[in-house]
Amino acid sequence: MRRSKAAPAAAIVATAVGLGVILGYHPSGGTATLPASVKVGATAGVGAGVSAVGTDQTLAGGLGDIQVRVSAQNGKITNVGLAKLTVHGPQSAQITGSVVPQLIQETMAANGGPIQAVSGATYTSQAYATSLQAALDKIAATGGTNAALGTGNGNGGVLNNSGGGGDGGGNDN
Amino acid sequence: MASLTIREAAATAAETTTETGAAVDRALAVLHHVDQVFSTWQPDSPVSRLRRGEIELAAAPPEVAWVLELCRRARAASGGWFDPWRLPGGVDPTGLVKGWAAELALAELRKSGAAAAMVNAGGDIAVFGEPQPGQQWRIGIRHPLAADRLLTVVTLGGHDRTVATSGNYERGPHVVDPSAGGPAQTLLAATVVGPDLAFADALATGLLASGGKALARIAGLRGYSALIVEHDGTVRTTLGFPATDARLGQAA
Repeated sequence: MRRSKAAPAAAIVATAVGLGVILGYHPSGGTATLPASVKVGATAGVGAGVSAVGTDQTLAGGLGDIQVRVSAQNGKITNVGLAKLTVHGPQSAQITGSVVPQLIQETMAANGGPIQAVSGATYTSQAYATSLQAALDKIAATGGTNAALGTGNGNGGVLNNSGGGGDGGGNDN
Repeated sequence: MASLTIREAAATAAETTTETGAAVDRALAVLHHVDQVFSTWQPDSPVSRLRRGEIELAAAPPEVAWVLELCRRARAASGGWFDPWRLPGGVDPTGLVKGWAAELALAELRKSGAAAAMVNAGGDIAVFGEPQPGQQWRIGIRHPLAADRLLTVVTLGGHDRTVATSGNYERGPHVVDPSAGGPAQTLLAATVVGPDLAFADALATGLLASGGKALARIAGLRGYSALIVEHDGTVRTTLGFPATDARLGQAA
């Protein structure tokens, strides 16, 4: 389980802050609404502008039920994320708890371009729930209607971002 | 925990998105299968039985032998710091498997004809294509001491196609220093960027176990770069680490 490193945190964070810590993202764009759940194994009926939710069990370590969300935006963007993570055991309440709006506000308040994911040693479900990756998936799962986003227009796919464009250096491998 | 992100090739009809859905199914099936075979948490998995000596390697699914071969190569590349054979409880390829599985899942998405895709397997990330035309993927590196903070952001594109992070911050010290036999505690986190996520995953594990000693070795591997966070918060990177922070990845 997690071990608190609260004691040394203050001094170390102070060092790290100097390296430019928080980099935010700016959600925009559109996301479709969620229809009733379907079984992923039966091929989700995903059409343009339509989303689907499927359930896969015990993915990645037997943690519990995982709902996988698929959304297509006008046939251009398909974002698949964890819409819901149900963990068997006492941590379930924390999984569904809402730490996300605060995280979004913090990251929105900071400078920096959009990010698509977070790399970290996130092994536990509790860690996932309190991670930025969870926040990113939350945005996709809610279509960005969360008031904390401050957009107020129903937008929110994390891949449809304004600003922070790259230099086109990417390619297919 | 896996998260898949796909950008389809163009504005298309329902057939394409149905194909995407089928590719997602295949990708999830791959992840599920790998978990079933390689889980060290499930006592009946082939790798668990192999670890207990109940079956020989030849009796395990053939992908187990292939993963162990990859582990041997990663061990050599890491200078011995990634060593699944010098862990308590028998051979444990977990440090490489997650990245390897993510690559398999990404390959399924790629076969669907997607323009771009990303697989995030528990914080180990592989991408292809561009998230939006003309843009690079931007991946936050979690701050080792705060789950809601980013240490920096790396850009992925070209050969910098994958990123893996190993840390001592979630489960307590869990990466064993193979030279000492005990938990490695001198680094808070290690991140490796490179062209293959199985290797990047293993190298990040080995780098963390080394307490940072393997940083110079990774700097010498073609295509790979790394970042470490030392216990006092000092951040060091190899030259060319693709951080967006101008102070990281540059010559001192």
